[in-house]
Amino acid sequence: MKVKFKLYASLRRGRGTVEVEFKGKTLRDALRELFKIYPDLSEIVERDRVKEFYKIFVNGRDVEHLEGLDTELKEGDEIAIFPPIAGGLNR
Amino acid sequence: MEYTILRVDLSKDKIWEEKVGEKVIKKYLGGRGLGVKILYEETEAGIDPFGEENRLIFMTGYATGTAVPLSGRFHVITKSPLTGGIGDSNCGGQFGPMLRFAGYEGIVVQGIADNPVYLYIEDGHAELRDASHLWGKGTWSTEDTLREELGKDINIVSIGPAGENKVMMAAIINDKHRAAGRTGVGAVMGSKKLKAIVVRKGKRKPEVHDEAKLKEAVENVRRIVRESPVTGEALPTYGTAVLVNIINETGGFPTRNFKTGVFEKANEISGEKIAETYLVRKKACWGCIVACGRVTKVETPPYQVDGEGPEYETAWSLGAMCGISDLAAVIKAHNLCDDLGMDPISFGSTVACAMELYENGKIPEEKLGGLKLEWGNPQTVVELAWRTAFRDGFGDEIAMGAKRLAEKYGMPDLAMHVKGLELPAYDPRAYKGHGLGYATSNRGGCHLRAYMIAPEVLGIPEKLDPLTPEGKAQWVKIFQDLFCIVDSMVVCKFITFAVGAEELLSVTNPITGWDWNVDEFMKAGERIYNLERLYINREGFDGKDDTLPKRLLEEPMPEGAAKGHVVELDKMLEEFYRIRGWVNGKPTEEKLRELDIP
Ligand code: SF4
Repeated sequence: MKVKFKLYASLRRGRGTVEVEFKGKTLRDALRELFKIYPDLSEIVERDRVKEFYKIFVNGRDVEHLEGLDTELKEGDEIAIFPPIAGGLNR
Repeated sequence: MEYTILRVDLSKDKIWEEKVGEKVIKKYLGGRGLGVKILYEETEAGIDPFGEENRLIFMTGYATGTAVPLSGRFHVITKSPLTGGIGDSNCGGQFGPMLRFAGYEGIVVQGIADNPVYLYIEDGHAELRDASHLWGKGTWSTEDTLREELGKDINIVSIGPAGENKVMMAAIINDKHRAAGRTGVGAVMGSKKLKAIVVRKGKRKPEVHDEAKLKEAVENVRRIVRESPVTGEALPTYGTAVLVNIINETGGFPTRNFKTGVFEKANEISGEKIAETYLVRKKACWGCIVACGRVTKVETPPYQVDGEGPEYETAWSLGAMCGISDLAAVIKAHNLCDDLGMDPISFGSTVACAMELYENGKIPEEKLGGLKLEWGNPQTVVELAWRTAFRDGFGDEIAMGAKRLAEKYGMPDLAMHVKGLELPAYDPRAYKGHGLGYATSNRGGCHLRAYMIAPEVLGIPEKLDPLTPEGKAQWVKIFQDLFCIVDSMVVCKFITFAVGAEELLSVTNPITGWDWNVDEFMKAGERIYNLERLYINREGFDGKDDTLPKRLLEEPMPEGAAKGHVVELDKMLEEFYRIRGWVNGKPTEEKLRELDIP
């Protein structure tokens, strides 16, 4: 299936929006394909989880409130990725 | 601890000093807290905000101008002409520390001058001087003229034409671009015919009880601020407009007067776009290691300007809120608001309200003097900034603010306000707790009384699901009390993206010589929030005013991540009152006794 990744702030590096076609049905599967195209983006996943302070939204919903990397996608979903513009509280 | 307060009676042409002792400081801290205490005690209910008896209070706190990072701010407190309730606004720049270095923790102005004056302060001495040659000038030219006359080592707060003309959303400006923007504090300054306050750089050192301990605590706080992804990276790199895309993505970027929460052209006015286009460099308030300010320059006509901004709020109010995506026009309008001395949130929101009234056929063409009031027209916003500040033609109607405008044209529900203050740049249908924060804010529609976007979007201090109302009330209370402390000690709210109450307390004890724990500290915040509440209760506000515009309570969000959602306010409000110890928006006797107020 085909989904659209939108990259923001320091992840953008001249890219903006990337359409990805992938096999499988979860966010994890789609990201695997994205990282093949742009290996530098693999920084957003660490130990099989969204890296601390990074944010991934599927159609505007933080995947933290969905199923994380197991969130199931459907054709045409829009996935927004933000680098740490948040978090970092030490308590 | 002792504060020295400068008292000024403009009617009597009198200036004197007053000391505020340890006991009062321990109760109200300074800044916003001490300001509301003075306003509450010295004025009666129902006074005219533009009358002699209203107080215009400039207040710093024990942290202002010390080694504590982000401590370059001050607070302004008065009765708001826009809302009729508490008027208060926090401002960056340099003025706060400069006032302390020149000898004073605060200034309380009362009365009305016969002719325009400015207040001049140097080394613990103050005098009133004629300002007729400054009257009519914008804040930029006022600052330039005063520097030419008095030399460069001065710092200035002033009002522009908007304040002089008592435009309800007039601001007080420091360093040309920093504003005590909200609730119309500039209009009160204008009503007093006080054009500016000038302080000459002085040598007085703010009182610190234990320098060595403070140094240690400050080093720790500085490290945390530097290491935080928000204060250490995002804000310095992209400014506050870094929020545009993330708020738009999460479906709460108010567009065309809150008709929807998704702006199709958000990227055009985002922090990323500013960095790619008009950004010259970043800029900081006094002693700040974050530097969220943006120096920008537009070189091509018709919107040339050498200035600053936009911030997140102005990218929205002068952009998406009016359906505008022309970044150059947004920067121009932002700078006009600074120069004319006007709050761009209330201004942009009132223009958007007018646009929707026009769309509904409520505003007759002949009122407009050639203005085009359809959505997305950048010239209109730029032109209306001028007309509003000078109350020219239709600008005179924008100058009333959204609530009065929408009432006048018979569609009061189109004004997106709480308690008369226009809402800022987050649609609470997408962030339920933030909606409770808006509804229960003492000064009205405001994101700086409880910034629930931190937990609901950014995950600070922990991630909460934005779309559920459950469990939000306790968080709103904590934020409200904590922000009272932040505004009273006085430091920049952005410090709370990195640190919490413990760290703020870790610098408080060495400065003041107190030995407080976090509970005692938070209690001071709660006391201040409740005294503000008492003030607005006295002015007639109660539970009926702790609400939201009908649109946010009844019209489901049409698209985006919050599609189908409204704010379930009643449920959250009930819990909130219970936690606060309030009934129908009023503190109970028992709560007042516990907090030892009024
Ligand atoms: S973070 Fe921004 S607003 Fe706050 S003190 Fe620093 S420069 Fe000023």
